[in-house]
Amino acid sequence: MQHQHDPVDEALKTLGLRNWPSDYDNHKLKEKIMQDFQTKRSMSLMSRRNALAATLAIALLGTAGFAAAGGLDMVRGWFITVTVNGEDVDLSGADIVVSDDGQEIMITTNGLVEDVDEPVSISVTAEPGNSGSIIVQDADGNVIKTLNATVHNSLTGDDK
Amino acid sequence: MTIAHVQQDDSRARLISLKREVELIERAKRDPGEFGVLYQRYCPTLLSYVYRRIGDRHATEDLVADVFVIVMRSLPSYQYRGIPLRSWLYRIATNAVNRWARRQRRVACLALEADLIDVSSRSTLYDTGDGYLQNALLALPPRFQAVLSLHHMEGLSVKETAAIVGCREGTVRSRLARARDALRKHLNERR
Repeated sequence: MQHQHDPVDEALKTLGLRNWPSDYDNHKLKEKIMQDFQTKRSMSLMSRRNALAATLAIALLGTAGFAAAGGLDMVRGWFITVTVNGEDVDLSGADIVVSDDGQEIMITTNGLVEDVDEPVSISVTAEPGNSGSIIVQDADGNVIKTLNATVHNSLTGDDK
Repeated sequence: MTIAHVQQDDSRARLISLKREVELIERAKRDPGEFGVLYQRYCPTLLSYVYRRIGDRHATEDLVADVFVIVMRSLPSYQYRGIPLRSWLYRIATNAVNRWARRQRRVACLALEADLIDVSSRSTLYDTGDGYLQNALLALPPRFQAVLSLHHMEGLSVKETAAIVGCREGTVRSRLARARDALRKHLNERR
């Protein structure tokens, strides 16, 4: 009996008995929900677009920086393979510069050629008569030897 | 008909209603028109729940609108994992009301610090005749308000209340006891 007069129970019962009016026109609420939803959706679309634009800008800047830092030559160099006397040469660590049209290739590396330990540059020309041979030069441009070698550019599909 | 038969029929009816609810959710995910059915079914429950907790019609409309916007956005990723949709909706509403209550408390604290409002006039903020009861409830920490409202006013079991507020049943029982003590204290102070 004592429990029935508990002010806490009475308070909770009173508050719990209140209902949202059943005659309430919830059409207004529906409109409000739709408006809120549209606003939030357009805001979300806008923020998505902004995020996409920022990502693209970063990607463009990154690509430009990469190209400026010689990244393009590096990427082109991935497609170059050199065969000397019929054997593939390990080009890891070599500095490979390929012209934009892929016709001129300059490779600077150590140990590419037997008997020559110092860095050498190999110039590859596509002139008639030089086809099938590459010229090995030292740092001063002196010709060390001419080799019967093939440079293959798998990007352009050219054999020189 | 025995008690066992009644219980069996009851649990079968619950299973059928649960199956229909899951089907409705799946339809609502694909078809926005079906969302209207969900809205019609649960809107009155949520309006009453939020209104009982805060006692302010305009704020109730705003909060329930927010809740349904969240539901619309979250429904595609909703997956039924044994918790009824009603509990999920109660959870979203509870979180929204708790955030609102915290905001109100901060605003009230700032206003009191600046001597902008008179404490005795706070009941006029609410459009009910039981302003002091409402104020006593709102004076409690939101986690206490939530368990008292869900268990005592909405008539939910301790288990369902625990699922909604995201804690163990024992924690809910302990919160209920502490919330009742705190409410009693507030009521005594205001009388």
